[in-house]
Amino acid sequence: MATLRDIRKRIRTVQNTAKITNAMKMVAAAKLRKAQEAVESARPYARKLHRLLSEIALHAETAGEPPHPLLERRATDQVELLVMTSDRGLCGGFNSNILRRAERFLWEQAEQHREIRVSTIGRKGTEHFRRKKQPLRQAYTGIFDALNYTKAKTIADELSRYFIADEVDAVYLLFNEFKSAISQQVTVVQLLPIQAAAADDTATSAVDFQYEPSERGILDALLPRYLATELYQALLESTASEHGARMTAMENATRNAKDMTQKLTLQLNRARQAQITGELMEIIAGAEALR
Amino acid sequence: MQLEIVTPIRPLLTAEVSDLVVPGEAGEFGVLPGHKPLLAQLGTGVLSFRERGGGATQLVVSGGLAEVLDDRITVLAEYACRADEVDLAAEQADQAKLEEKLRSTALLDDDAHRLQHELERTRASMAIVLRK
Repeated sequence: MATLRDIRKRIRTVQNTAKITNAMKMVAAAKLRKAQEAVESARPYARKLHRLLSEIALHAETAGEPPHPLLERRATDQVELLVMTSDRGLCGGFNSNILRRAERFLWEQAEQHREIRVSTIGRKGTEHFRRKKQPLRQAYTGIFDALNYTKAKTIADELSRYFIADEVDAVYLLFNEFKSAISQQVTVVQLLPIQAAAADDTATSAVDFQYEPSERGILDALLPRYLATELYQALLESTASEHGARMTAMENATRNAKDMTQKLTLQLNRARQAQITGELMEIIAGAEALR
Repeated sequence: MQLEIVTPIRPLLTAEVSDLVVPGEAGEFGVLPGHKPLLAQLGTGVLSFRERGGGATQLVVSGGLAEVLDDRITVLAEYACRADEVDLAAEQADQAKLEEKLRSTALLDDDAHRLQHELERTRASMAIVLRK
C-alpha cells in the first residue's frame, strides 16, 4: 500500500496540474472573446460581398457570356484539399476531428478516381500528414500568429493562380466552423470554382447596373476578394473554435483534477487513520503484556 | 443618401450624406441623390463626403468596390482609414521606404504596380491630415 508520503506527493502534483489547466482555461476564455469579436466584425463585409456577387453572377448568366475563369466549372480530375488545423494542441478533439474527416475525404476522392493533393494551414495538420508520408503541396505556417486579411489574400491568390493555370479543377477547404463557445462543426466548403449562384433570398433580380470600368473589370476585382474573404472568415472561425475547444478541454481537465484530489484526500485520511489505529493497538498490546 | 463603408476587418462607418466623391479605379466620380445604379472598382485615394447638415469628412480608401443602388452607397474597401486614425510619422516612414523599393524594382513588374498603389495610399493619407 502507498505510504502517506506518496499520497501527499500525488495530491500536490494533481493540484499543480489543476492550477495550470485552470489558468489555460482562463486564457482560452479571454482569447475566445477576442476571436469571437473578430468573427463578428468581419461578417458584414463578407455578407455584402456575397450579395454583390450573386447579383452580378445573375446578370452575367442571363447575358449568356462565357464565365469568368474563377467561376468556370470543368471536369473534376485534379482536386486540392486545404486542411485547416491549429498550431497548438491541448484543445480536445479539435484537430483529430478535422484530420479524421480529411482522411475520409481523401478516401472518397480516391474512390472516384480523382487525383488529390493536400495543403495544410496549421502545424498540427502538417505534422499529421508528414507522419503519414502524405506529400503536401504547401504547408502554410505562421498564419495564426498575428492573423490578418493580407495573409488570407496571399493564400487565396495562390490558389486562384493554380486554378486558372488548370493545375487543379476544384479546391475544397476543411475547417472547424464556429457554432458556439462549446461546439464546433467540421465543415467542408468548395472554394474554387467560386459558387456564385448560392443566391440566398434577396438577390434583387438583375438590376441594370452601370459598370465602371466594365463588368469584366468588376468581376476581376470582386472574385479574388470574395475568395480571400471566404478564407479569412474561415481562419477567424477556426481560431475562435480552437479557443472554444481548448476552454472546454481545460475545464474538463480541471474538474477531473479536482475529483482526483478529493479521492486522494479520502485515501490519505483512511491511511492515516489506519496507521494511528495500528499504533494504538501496538501500545495497548504492549501495556497489556507488562501488566 | 445612406453611405456605408465596410472593410474586411470591420464595418468602418455609416452616415447620412448629401453628396460624396469616390476615387474610382478610372478616376474620381461624384454621387448625388438619384444616381443611376452603379458598380465601380475602387482605386486608391481620398473619399470625401458631406454629412447632411454637417461638415465634410475625408477618408483614405484603397482597393475594392463601390455600389450605388437606390440612394444607398456601399463601399467595400480593402483598406480604409479615417483622418484622425492616420499616423503621420508612420506614413512618412512608409513613403520613404516605398520610394526606395520602387526605385530598385523594374517598372512593369507586378510588384511595381502594387508599390505604386501603396505609395498613393501613403500620399493620400498624409494629404488628408495636412489639409485639416
